[in-house]
Amino acid sequence: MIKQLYTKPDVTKNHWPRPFCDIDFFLRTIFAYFVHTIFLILASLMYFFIMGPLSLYLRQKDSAPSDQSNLHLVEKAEYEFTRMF
Amino acid sequence: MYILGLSAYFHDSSVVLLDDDKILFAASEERFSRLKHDHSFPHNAIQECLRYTGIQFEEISEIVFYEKPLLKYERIIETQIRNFPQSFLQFLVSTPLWLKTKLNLRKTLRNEFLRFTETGKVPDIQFSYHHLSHAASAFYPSPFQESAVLCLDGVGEWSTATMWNGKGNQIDLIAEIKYPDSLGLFYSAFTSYCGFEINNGEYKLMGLASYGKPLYQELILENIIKVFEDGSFKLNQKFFAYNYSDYTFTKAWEELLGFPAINGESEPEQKYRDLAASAQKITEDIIFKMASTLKEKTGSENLCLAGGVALNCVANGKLAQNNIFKNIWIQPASGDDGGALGAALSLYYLKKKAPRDNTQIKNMMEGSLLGPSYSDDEIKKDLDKYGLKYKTFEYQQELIKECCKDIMDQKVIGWFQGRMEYGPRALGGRSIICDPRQSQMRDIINSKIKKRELFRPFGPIILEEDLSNYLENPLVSPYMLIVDQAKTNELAAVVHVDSSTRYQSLGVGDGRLLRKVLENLKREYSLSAIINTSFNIKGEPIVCTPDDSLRCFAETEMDVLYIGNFRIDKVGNNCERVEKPRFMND
Repeated sequence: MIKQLYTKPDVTKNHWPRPFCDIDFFLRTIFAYFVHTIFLILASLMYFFIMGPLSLYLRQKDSAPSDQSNLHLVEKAEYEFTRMF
Repeated sequence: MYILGLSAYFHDSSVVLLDDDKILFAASEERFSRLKHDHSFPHNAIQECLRYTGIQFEEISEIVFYEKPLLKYERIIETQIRNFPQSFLQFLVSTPLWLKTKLNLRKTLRNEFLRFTETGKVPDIQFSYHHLSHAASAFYPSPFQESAVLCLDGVGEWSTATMWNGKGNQIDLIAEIKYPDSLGLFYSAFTSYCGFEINNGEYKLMGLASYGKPLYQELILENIIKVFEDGSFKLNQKFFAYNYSDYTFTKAWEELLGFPAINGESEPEQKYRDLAASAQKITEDIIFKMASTLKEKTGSENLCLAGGVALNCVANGKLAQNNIFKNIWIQPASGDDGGALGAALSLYYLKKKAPRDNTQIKNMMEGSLLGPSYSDDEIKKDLDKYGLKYKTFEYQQELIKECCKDIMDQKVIGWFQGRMEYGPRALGGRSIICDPRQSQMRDIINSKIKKRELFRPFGPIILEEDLSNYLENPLVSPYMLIVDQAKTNELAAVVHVDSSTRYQSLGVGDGRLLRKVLENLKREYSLSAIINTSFNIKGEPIVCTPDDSLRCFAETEMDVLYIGNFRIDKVGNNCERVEKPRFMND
């Protein structure tokens, strides 16, 4: 049993990467975590400082067309197909 | 001019190829990838489209996507802003996805299309509007030269419900209801509360509704949804969570209703059946009111329907019978799969300004049999691959007679003939058929093959000229999108608990082989109807290729399979060599 525990694993049979034996994998993982953390921090800052005030503005603007209907009437709609918006 | 229409990246990715206004091919990616409601780019469907039609990718002159991605993103980001700070998690999840692929969809799509050509040339990709695609898919293939058009779904860019006036090759938007007020999402919230999967279980809620009474209707109308006289409505957002999360309803539902949502697909108790009936009743009332408003605005005698809500065949049946409109035509691929067709047709008629005169076109949808078909040689290869014994027929009439005999012998029959259906219904191309007169046939199909919820009904195919023998208010229903009350209990296996039945009618001129089977059945056995349900197992998309059908046949206790000119009997065949259905391996 003890011998089995201390036997070096057969890497040809084990497809899982061994982080502390594979320095390249280790560095790439650290880098990926780093990039994701930066993204999360930036996204959070943007979210709270930009979207907060905007939401107040949009909520004030939000209303149904009337008290009797929520149907938005369209006088003349034109369609174009080249733009993505 | 070849036009390729495409819908993808939400659910039910599909591809359609037009030669001017003739539909050469239409199919959903799920049939080829074997992943139900597959939303990925439809590589397999495009590949099959090119193989089936024999057209080279370089010959396609226009490619059109079914919605405007930037307008959709505008809606998403604005909704997230409005729902600050609850939307934080959704913002974190959705923003990278949009930044990576969807915001530059033109480039993403171009890169995907490059694998179909060696020249490196891809036509300019164009973009229709989500609801315009739905409306075009409903109006242009319809037999009407002018018509009112009503589209109802979850949401596209901003619109959730739209009213249109179609005339000739023009289609004009009259009015719309905008997100977050959505009839589709309202219905989905009830679907989810009753334990079914959103975008997949809405038809289960519709089936469940027949077992209940609309006891919660008033409570819902007072608190959750405000319905106006013109059919427009406003949802109380306190009860909905889809604006800022993956859930549709909030905890406020439990406080209001006094019972929790079902977690998982367990057998719903009576209160959930009543809740389903209430949601169904409110949905029907809204559709009727909107139809009346549309009638006032257009003055038309004709109505075309599309959008996911148009698959609600109970509401469709009642709408057809209440005579607001004289004629109704419903697009069989009403969901986002039909968006590919509508996008291509809208480009052809609105941008290319092609003339349209449908008085000459009787059946532009060709019974919705628009997918691939396979020759007897191709089928034989698969049969031989698995070492299956089969019988071939010298004359078609022999096959028809033997099939009728099998139906009379109470066998459950797999039916794989001709082109595959476009849209969610099996319409006699990839079906399971059997005798509808014995109520136990429903349980036999369920126990042998479908393994689905016992409260869900099966539907029949009926000869059009004999509809009045079986139905109270017979109407032509070529796409199985209408429900009517059964006249008698003669077709016991397809009559639901409330005596309704969802039926498909086959007209005199219909070229389907199944029509000939029914004619022979009527001649020899005085029966003009059979059970028709989709050829698949629970959780699997409808079979597409001969190989898919053989795998499904072998996996289930189906008795006989009629595939092309071959009959395969389970008795005397060793199906062990046949592989498992592909969706089970994925």
